[in-house]
Amino acid sequence: MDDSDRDPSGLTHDDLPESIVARMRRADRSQAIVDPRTDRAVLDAARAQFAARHGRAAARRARWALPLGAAAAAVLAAWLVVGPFGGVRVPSSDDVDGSGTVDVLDVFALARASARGNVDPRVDELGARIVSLAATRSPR
Amino acid sequence: MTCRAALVGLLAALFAGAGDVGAQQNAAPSSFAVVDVFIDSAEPLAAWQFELDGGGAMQVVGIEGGDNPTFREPPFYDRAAVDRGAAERIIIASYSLGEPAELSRGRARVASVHVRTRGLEPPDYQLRLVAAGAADGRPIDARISFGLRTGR
Repeated sequence: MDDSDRDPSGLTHDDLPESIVARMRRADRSQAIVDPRTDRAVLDAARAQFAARHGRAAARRARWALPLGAAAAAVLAAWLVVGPFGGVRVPSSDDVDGSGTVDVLDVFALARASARGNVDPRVDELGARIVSLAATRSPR
Repeated sequence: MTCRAALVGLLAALFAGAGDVGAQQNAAPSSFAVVDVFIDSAEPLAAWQFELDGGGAMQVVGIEGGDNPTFREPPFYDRAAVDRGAAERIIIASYSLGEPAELSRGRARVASVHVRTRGLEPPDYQLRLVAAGAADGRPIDARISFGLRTGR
């Protein structure tokens, strides 16, 4: 008995009536026979289709990724500068005490450092800048 | 004759207009006032900065230091704008490197702002404390207020 005579259930032709075996053989022959070359061709076509779809999706992602990333970076930078609670942070070398704003306390910090021997010529310059009417806006 | 009459009329109109302008300038009342600025702090006050805005109805003409002698240096302010007569608001700041025991505690006059005001009503003064600090540079809580001295 060859493999074609063996049913998946484990029964052999010897266990079945001849009429049933004959009907089953007819039915078996009526099914389409898939040639290995056809199978290979279908597989290759499917792979090609999915490969092309992947490329298009990647291209779509690449087209949006740059402007989207730039916009996200800008929003993040604005959030960091303005601050989550509305205070304006000034990322500046003049922010000597690191408070986020430049005011007399920064001038005072420079002056205190100067008093300890590290004379800093920026004291008067920064002092003049923090009171400059042209450099500041009226709160009204 | 007609030209001479037109010229006389034109000159008369010009003089009349100049007279109106002069009358308007004389009519706009102007006076001087002194705004004494006080800062009230529970801790010794070593540094301060405030902003005074007169809402466009004042012009700062001079700045005077406060009562505490440890603030030896004149305060920072936009001297050029004051000298130009263009200071309709002013930001003033100062600090002292004196010992904490020498610094003011409680309510103290830190500066006096001499202003020229326009109009019959006193300006709507807006005073804002920008920063106040202790001798070690820490920001401290403080209250700011002002008193007004007026005179013609």
